[in-house]
Amino acid sequence: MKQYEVVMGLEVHVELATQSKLFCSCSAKFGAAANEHVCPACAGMPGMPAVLNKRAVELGIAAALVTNSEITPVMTFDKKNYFYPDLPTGYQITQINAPICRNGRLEIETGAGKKTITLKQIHIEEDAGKLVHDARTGTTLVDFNRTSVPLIEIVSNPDFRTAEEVVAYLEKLRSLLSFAGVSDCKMQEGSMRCDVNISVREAGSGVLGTRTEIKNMNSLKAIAAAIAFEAQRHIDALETGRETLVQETRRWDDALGESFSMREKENATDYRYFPNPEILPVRLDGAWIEQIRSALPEPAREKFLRMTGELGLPEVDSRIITGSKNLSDIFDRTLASYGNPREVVNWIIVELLAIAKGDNKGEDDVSVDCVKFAKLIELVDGKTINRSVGKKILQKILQDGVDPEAYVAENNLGLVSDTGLIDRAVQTVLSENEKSAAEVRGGNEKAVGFLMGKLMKSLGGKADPKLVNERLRYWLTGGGL
Amino acid sequence: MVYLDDSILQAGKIASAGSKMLRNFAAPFDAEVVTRLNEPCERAVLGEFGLEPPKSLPDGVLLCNDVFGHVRTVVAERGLCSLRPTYGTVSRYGLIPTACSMDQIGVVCRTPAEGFSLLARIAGHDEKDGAMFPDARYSYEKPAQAPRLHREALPYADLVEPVFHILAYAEISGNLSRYDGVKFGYRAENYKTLEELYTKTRTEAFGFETKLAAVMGCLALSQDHYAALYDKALRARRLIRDSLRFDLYDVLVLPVESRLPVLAGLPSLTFRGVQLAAGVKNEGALLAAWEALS
Repeated sequence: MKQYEVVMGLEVHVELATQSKLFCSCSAKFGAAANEHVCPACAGMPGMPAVLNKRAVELGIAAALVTNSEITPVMTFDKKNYFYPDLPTGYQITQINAPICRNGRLEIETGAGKKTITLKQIHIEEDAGKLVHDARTGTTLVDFNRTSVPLIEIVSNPDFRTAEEVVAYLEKLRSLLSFAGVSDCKMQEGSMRCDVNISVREAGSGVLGTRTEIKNMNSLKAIAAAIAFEAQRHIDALETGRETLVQETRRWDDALGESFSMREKENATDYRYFPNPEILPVRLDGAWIEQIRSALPEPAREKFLRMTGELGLPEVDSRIITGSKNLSDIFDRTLASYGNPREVVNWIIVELLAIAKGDNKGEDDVSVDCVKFAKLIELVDGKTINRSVGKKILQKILQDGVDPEAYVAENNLGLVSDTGLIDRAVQTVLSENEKSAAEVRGGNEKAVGFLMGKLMKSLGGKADPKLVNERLRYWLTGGGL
Repeated sequence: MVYLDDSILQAGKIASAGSKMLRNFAAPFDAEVVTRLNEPCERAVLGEFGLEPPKSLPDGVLLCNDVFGHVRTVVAERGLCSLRPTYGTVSRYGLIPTACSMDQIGVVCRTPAEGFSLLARIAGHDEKDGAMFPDARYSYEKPAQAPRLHREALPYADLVEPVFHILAYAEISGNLSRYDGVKFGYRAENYKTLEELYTKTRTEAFGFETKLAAVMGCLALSQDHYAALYDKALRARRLIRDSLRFDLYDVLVLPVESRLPVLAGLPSLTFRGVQLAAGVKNEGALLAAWEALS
């Protein structure tokens, strides 16, 4: 059997983390009710000239910097013309002739080692709206909230050979862009989307095969599955000749695990690109770029090295924290209020993420008031309360935003470390559970847990477990007799 | 009384730009010039998107965006004054766009002094228009001494007309595509598909000149003709702009119109030589972004 090589290039769309849209002052926030973030400009009404969002350009420059791209000295915008109801003006403002940057490169690492992926260009453009099909009434409705939300499209060269490389690249991009504050890069919410251009050729051939483009994958898993399916479809077509490959766009159906032709018209759409006269050329001068470069936040890799080095934290924990910009921010902010990195990491990974998981939230969605969180950790660390009380208060902080110190005082949750009080409780519990006490004395360590449980309960869960254990053992072994 | 071209928005009032497509379009906000004028204005419906000659001009000062020069022709026939300010000096916030690189609100008035005093009130930077000069002021005073005159040939005079039309049509074709019957404005009845909704709406609501501009503009931008038409016109525009010697001269004096006014019972006359110069006068000013006074 012949050996085949899969060749892939990626087009990744990333929504820029601006407050407002690319050419008007509407909010660019995700998740509002349909058509809540719409003004005459982004609804396509005539009379509002496009005014470029400066912040979007700055985030574009940040993206150029973290991808080692060559920034264009004077960038321009173009109009891409086509008719579709989700595009209210009938044209998309994008960059064709002079995009913000070109010739970037990124290093990725897979099981096969390190590899450099080269980028053709990154350009800024506006997003389109969303069509909502109502199967019940057979009508289609338009939601313009996403219209004109700023995007960058990162176009790679056809440098990918395996799905593993594609996934590694997307993870690297996500880390670089989210840490630079360019985007939150959430695939599920569509703020990071990836189209894969794929072709298959005989190994060693210098000629590329027929290319198809697959769209509509909203997770890394779906991307890997789509690549596997599409590559096999190409190989089958080449092997058996039962299907002739045509250059086309295909939609991935994740539920069915198959790609489907989007059946575009025979003659490719002519987008009639031309320079947009409404928006003046934008000079990206060195001083501005340097200002943005010097304000770039610490990238994940450097933060990881600082955490494992200077802060002396375990690699496993540091990797979890730096795997998400959101966790990383929580770590930084909490650490700023309470300077014990080991405990802060511990509370984020063990407690905060566990509660978040119960609420169906992941690393990127969990949120907490970091000042209160830090105070709570300090209270536990300083033995004002015990850890299990601390966990309960963390729940309260997340749900009701309580102030931990005030909450402890109001509910009398302070750690019980009064030895006299604990001793009296031990004596009561031992006299009520003579059988278990006898078992422990006979060498059954399991019964200690049972007695500890009874004791902690009788002390209202507030006692220092270490001290209670100590006093229990003291009384079990004869207690001063 | 100041009249506004029907392509200048006034909150709550119909702004049709002279088109059936927008005859039910109530403007959602005031144009910047309306805000700056801060006085009651009347509306004047001119030709559709400025592509057709106006049927009449109002009796008073008129603010309008006369890209295609039809208003200026009537103005010349009437012996009035037309003042087109430099590109990017009067805000286009609230102006229904035609050809964005040439759109500019100007004044039709009785005397230059009247026009300049109005311009002084409406000109100046506006952050709501993304393509403006940062600082622009207008004032009017008579020159202290009589001007010295020179006769000069215009090297690209014959290019002006075709270059203007290619660029203006291309740009207006893009700006017309928002009118599709989906969101606002006219919508055809009895359609089955989206394609049919688009086609019927535009067929019924656009006039001949508008359809012609859209089709010619799309042609100039199509893959097959872009290099020969649009791109070449862009280059020629730069040539024309650089050929106008405003480094040597303050003012370029040209005839406005090639035809004599139509007098009762007499045929209209056209002089070829005059027509070229008139082209430079009208469209040349647009292409080069210079101000023009007639």
